Amino acid sequence: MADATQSDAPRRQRPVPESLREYGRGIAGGLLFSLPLLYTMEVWWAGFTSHPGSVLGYLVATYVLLLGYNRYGGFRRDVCWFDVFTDSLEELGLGLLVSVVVLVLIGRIGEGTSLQEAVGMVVVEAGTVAIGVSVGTAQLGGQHREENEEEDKKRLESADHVPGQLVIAFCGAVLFAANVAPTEEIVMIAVETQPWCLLGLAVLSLLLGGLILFQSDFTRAHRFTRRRLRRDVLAGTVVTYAIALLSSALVLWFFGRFNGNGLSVRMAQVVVLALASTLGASAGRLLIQS
Amino acid sequence: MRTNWNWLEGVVFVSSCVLVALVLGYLAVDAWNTGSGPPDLSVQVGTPVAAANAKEWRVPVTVTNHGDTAAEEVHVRVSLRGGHEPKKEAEFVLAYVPRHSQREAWVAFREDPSPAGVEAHTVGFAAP
Repeated sequence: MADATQSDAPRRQRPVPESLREYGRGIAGGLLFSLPLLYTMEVWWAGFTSHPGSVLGYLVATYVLLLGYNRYGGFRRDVCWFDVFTDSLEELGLGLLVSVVVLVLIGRIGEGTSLQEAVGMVVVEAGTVAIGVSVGTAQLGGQHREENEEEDKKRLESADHVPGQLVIAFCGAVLFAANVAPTEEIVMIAVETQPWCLLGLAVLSLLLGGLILFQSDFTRAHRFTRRRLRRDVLAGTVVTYAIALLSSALVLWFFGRFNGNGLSVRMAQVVVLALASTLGASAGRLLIQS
Repeated sequence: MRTNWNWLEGVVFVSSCVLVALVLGYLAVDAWNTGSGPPDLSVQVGTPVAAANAKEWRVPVTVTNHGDTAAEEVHVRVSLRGGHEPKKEAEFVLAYVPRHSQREAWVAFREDPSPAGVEAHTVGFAAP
């Protein structure tokens, strides 16, 4: 999987126990990131109330996200696209499998469940599980923790690779937003919160994003962020929040949270969810890169 | 290009390809065949079962959605056919009945439903 894509061509065939350990890490990561979703009834419902075309789109979008993460996560610039495609496919397959197993074990899929219902639930859950598998494989191994000057230099260079940073920030934002978006609480908060408080939430999200990326040195953030000019810091903060807003809107739209609501409620939901997405786009991004 | 997989990696990769292709294919066919019509609910009443103490009779009710969209908050009313007024009635709510799926529920009556029988119908539902 993703971790196995270091370019040391021609690569030796890995021993089976090592592959087994890596799959184990991936599955553990998948569960770590997606267990709240697997236990959330609004997500099961989203699976079977959505049109199969939307569910299909969700599956394809997840694969594209995985491609982005596997290409840019950890900034393995030398990784080849064939590996990226195959790794992403494996992670999606594992995501589907893990979802089926957990949903059967918690009694969501049983004898009385129709195929449409089961497939819908599994695919919606599998999206987050698959991203978790990808992140877990790359991050839970521990081999990236060693401090290495050359590695740090490479990462600093990667901070200039804007599309890569955007993709990783988007992955982090979606990962966090998807954990909260399907719940009724987002609509409830959005409907009941006063406009001034919403503005406060937006400002807090912006500050939090900037703080994590440029001030707190979270997981030694200076390795991943371009901060040569004050303008870089400002742009980085604003762009991170923009990604958070965009990913929130997309996730809310998929889970049908916009249906029947007016523009003000939709906007309020986006702002409420964007707090979680900003954490994903900044802290999540640093975590999945480090 | 990564071609030197060990057998485990090979199995996982091929299984993933098959699984993803099956799900994609199924969803594509399903999306093609699914319209956007409203839910179409039918209610079927099963055979009443006497409780162990014989003071209560439990009746299984199956709600089926033949439509192309899910129905939310489905209210179903079950009443004893004929008999004296006021009619004995029971009601339950199902959170969701997905499209082309069914849900089962039970209602209880204090008197033996047979031979008058039981009738059931949906009172209303919401569109998700």
